[in-house]
Amino acid sequence: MLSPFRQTYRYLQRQAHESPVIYYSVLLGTVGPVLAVVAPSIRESFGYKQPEMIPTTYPLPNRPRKPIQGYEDE
Amino acid sequence: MSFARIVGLQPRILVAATRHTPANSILARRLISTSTCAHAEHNLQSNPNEKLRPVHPSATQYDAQSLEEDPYKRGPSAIDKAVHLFFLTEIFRGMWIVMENFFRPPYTIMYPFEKGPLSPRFRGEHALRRYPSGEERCIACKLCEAICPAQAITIESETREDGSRKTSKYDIDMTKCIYCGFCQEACPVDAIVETQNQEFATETREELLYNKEKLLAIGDRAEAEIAANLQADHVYR
Amino acid sequence: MLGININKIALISVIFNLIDVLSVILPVLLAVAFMTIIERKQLAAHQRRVGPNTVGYYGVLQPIADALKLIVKETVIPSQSNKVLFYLAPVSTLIFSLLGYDLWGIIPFGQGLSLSDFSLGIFYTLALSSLGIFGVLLAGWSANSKYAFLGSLRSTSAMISYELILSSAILIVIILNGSLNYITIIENQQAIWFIVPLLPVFIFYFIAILAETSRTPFDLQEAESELVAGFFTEHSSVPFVFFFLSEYSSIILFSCITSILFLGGYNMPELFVNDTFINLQSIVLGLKTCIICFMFVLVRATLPRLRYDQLISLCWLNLLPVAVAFIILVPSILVAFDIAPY
Repeated sequence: MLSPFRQTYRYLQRQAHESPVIYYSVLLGTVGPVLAVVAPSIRESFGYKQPEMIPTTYPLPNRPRKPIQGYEDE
Repeated sequence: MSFARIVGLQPRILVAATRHTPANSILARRLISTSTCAHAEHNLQSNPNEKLRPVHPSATQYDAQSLEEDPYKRGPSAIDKAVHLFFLTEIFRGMWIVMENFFRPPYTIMYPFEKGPLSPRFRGEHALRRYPSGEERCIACKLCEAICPAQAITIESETREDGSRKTSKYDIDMTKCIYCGFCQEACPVDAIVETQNQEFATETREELLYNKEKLLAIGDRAEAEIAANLQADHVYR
Repeated sequence: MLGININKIALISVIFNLIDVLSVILPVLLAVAFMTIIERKQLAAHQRRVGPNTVGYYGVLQPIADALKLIVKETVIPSQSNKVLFYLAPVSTLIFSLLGYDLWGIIPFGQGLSLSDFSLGIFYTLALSSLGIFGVLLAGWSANSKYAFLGSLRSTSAMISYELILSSAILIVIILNGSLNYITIIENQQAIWFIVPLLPVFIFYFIAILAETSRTPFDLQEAESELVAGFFTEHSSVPFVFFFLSEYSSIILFSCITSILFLGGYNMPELFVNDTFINLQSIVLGLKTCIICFMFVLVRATLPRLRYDQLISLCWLNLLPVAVAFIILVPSILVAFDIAPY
């Protein structure tokens, strides 16, 4: 049934029974980053669009500077 | 507390077959799997005849298909153990019981206003008794002085004018007395008895060195009570 | 003319500030005093006996009697001790735990009703609680006695170990809020009290608080001071009063912080509009603080003491992995579901 991973399974089972603190802490700790990587793709596949980031700076135009006119005091 | 098992409070259970586990030799590790689960919710005493030999996981046992048997099959599962560990199950059980007791009435007796019951054998303040005719019972046999473990009784005897053997000095040092009641057991005529009064505190030490008049006076005051106590208890003496 | 007017305004504002501060500090002092009698009566009720009931009606004047007795006792100072530090240690402990936390300055008793709305509120509290450990360290050390010194070292190490767990739990709450400000945290709990999503965090936070205030089951130092020695064994009357009061005031302090961080602070369901001048929100905050104080005493009534090595191994071997796991888990959930608070 699980012959190629028997050793791993036995090791994990032993850790779960003997030192549950480390086992479940590692489990919760790995769930975190895995979730952070996997969940947005799943949500996007369900049609969630990330809202636009609020602007943190003025949207600078990407063109050379136009010379200004009409502000001189002649 | 479940923490107790984690931090290794349970004594180490010796294993039948010790394999090559390096942990055994170097660190005296107490394995959770081999130490018994002390939770009350697992009925440990249900089958005393069944051989509950805890299996060391390193002594792997093989079943019919020469596949390794799950060494954790017997006993609570890993999820059970984890839940009891992380959610502090028995601690909350204890706290629930303490909360129940918060709402129950206290057992306290408000001492000066309410007093607890005393038995007729209670050993309190000493008293010297008299016969119903008024004659004092004590015949200066000095048995009480001999048997007193604290040597609190001092007796001097002399013949009274009418020729009877009576004491001239009968002192009990109440500060030495240990209120054991040997004197009242030793007395052949039930002269020295202990009443039920234990509230005779004084402000000076000298008042507690009782002499014969004081003891007789106590006896006269409490004779009815002493007689009733003796009547209740005499079959056992 | 103008000069005199300005002086009068300044004086009036100073007086009003003083009244503000006193109106926060004086009830806290009373609360600390009555916490002692509450603990004794509650412990007695849990153990089905009656606590002190002679002094006032039902014993409520007991703390005054205790304080009076301790003040008229003779203050014994060991001759070989460092006298300056000997006096300084309990005073500093009391100041840091009672007044100098000045938490009572930044705790909001209503929406916007705090003496100063400090944007680094939690940081300030954590920093001052770390400073409070100095008093413990100095007390045992300055007494120049072997047992007091050992007791203070052990107590200090226990407190700094559990400081880590406490900061981890508070860090998780801060991550969930995105702000260190107490009022922001309370306002964010209008959605749901943080004890509901963060229940495991609350559990190890509560354990850390019990260890920070040296309460049972972690009060080996108190027990030792009754038996052999603890860090305040050499301090007799007035210094002892300071330690005693600082312990109870730190209980109230941490109860207040717990009720703010996890139980919603002054939030209550909006059942009616409060037109009166009674500040119901502060009463709600007080009730929640009382519930946590009750929990403190309940835990003391229930649990036996942990030995010192069990205490330390509990922190570093058992609580720290869980704390780190939650520190990794909570922000990753926030990032994964895009609910980061900023």
